[in-house]
Amino acid sequence: MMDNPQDQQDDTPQKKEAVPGLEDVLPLNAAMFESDEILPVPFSVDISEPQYKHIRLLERMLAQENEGTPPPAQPPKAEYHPDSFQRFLRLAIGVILILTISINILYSNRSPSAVLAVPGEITQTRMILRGLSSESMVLVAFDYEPGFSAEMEPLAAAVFQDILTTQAVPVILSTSPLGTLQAARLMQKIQPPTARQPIYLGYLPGGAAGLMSLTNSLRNTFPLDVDGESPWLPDSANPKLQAINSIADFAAVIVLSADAENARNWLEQVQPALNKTPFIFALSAQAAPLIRPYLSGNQLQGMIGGVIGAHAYQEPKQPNAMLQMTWDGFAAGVWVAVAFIVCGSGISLVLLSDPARKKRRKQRQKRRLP
Amino acid sequence: MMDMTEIMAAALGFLITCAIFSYILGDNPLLRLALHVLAGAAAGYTALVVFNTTIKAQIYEPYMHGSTEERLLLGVPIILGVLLLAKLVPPLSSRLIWAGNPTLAFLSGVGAAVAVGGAVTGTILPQVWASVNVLDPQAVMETARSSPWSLVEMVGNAVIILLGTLTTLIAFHFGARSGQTPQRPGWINTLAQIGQGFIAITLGVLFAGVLLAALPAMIERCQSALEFIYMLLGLVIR
Repeated sequence: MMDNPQDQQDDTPQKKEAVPGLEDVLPLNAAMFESDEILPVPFSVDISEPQYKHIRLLERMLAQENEGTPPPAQPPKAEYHPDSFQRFLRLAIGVILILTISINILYSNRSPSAVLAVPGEITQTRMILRGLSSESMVLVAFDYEPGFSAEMEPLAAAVFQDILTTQAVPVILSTSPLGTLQAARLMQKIQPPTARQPIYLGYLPGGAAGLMSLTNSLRNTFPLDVDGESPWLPDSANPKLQAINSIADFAAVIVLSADAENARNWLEQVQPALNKTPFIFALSAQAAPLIRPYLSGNQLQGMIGGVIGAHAYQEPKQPNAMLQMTWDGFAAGVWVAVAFIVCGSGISLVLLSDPARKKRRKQRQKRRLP
Repeated sequence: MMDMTEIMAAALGFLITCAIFSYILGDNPLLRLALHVLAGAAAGYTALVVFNTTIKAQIYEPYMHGSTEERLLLGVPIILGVLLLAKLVPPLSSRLIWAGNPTLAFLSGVGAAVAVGGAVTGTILPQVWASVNVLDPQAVMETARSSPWSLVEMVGNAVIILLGTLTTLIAFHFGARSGQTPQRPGWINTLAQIGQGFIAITLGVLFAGVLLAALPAMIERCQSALEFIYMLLGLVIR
């Protein structure tokens, strides 16, 4: 018969092994497999209780193999689909943004809100544009695509309001084939009947090379305007253009652009030839941060960036109607976007600090490594 | 009262807006149809503008009405342009593909020369000079005389610009001497991490800019869709 396990404290090899004589077949500590059932052993062997439990475990495993019983059914684990979660997030964000903006549009009072501080470059732009006279010719480049017209039109309208008020003549060109169309569309919306008619030089092909050509020879680069007439002849519709021989002869050069690369081309090819002619940029919010260093380097005399810049530029007494239509929805949309970013960052931080997730992420990274 | 053309244009705009907004449900045939329509319309208009303002105004008209010298000079772009077609026309492209090479070489050479020249004189030199000027001792002294707060602001800006410029450049330093382990020294690694912080802030600013540029487009489309719905309701009520 088996001895009392409490009394088996010796360290003989038989006592350490799970199954006597079979080393490393089973783990030594079988206490985890609790069994209250102690069956009589047909022969007398001196074994400890853990060794006996190992024997029982082995017997059960063998019995199960012979029976071929299926493993117990586990409840199906909820599967995580990143694509469906992303789709849900996109839908939720889209719906919330659309609803917020639509409600703001419907209930907007469209009254101009106060501007806390007007940046120096905007004040400088105002001074330059309001200093123009009816004798001034201003070169304006409409270098934005139709996709940016919602942002750029209020900006361009704010600038043109001053140009048209001073009765200066805008001379319009574009390095984008669709730019002249954008200019004509804007003029149709904002031009008062008493204002001077702009001169449309048209499309300037060639990118940076085209701008270099414009700098070197303005008249040869644009032999004809969009109507197919020569604008440089004395009997043309605008005889004042006779005084313009180079790009430095304009009273100011204004570039309306949504692309930082395009704006940089103007700075690199045209700005060095301007001498004292003021050079002003009205840029999309996505291009403005990239061009700001040129303002600090005094290569630009004025700059307005995005809808926020246009809002700072306009006078509260003379609000820009196009801008007011956009402003309320814009302010609400920005708040919603900021709330999304802050909430998303917070949730990401919480998830990142979860140790179980950390472990899973490390395992995934290990699996990815060859 | 709106005429039928305006109503049709508003309806088309509303449908295309809905098709574009359907992207929030995922990629779908409606979205692709709207994108193709927009790309096609833009390409068609662009082709027309380029033909009128470039081929007609800069080549055809001067060739027809210009002097003999002008015509001879115009021969260069015409010949180069025709040679470029050899790369595009399939029956020719298999045998005469080399014929377009001089045109491409000319375009690449001129483009590179203009871009490099402009970058040096218009960006690199003025920006280096502007960065140096921030640390100009004479300007610092003059500012200190005008107001102490301006001096603090100026010095703070100068420190940030200097630190940002140096650490961002260091963040892209991956050099190692031969025989050494390919690892940056500890102090360079620390500065590189600060530089990465500056790069992250810059990317954040760019992301914010893209968001601020996209929002007005969404607002304008929402406004247009609401106006169309109002117009429809008005028509139904009448």
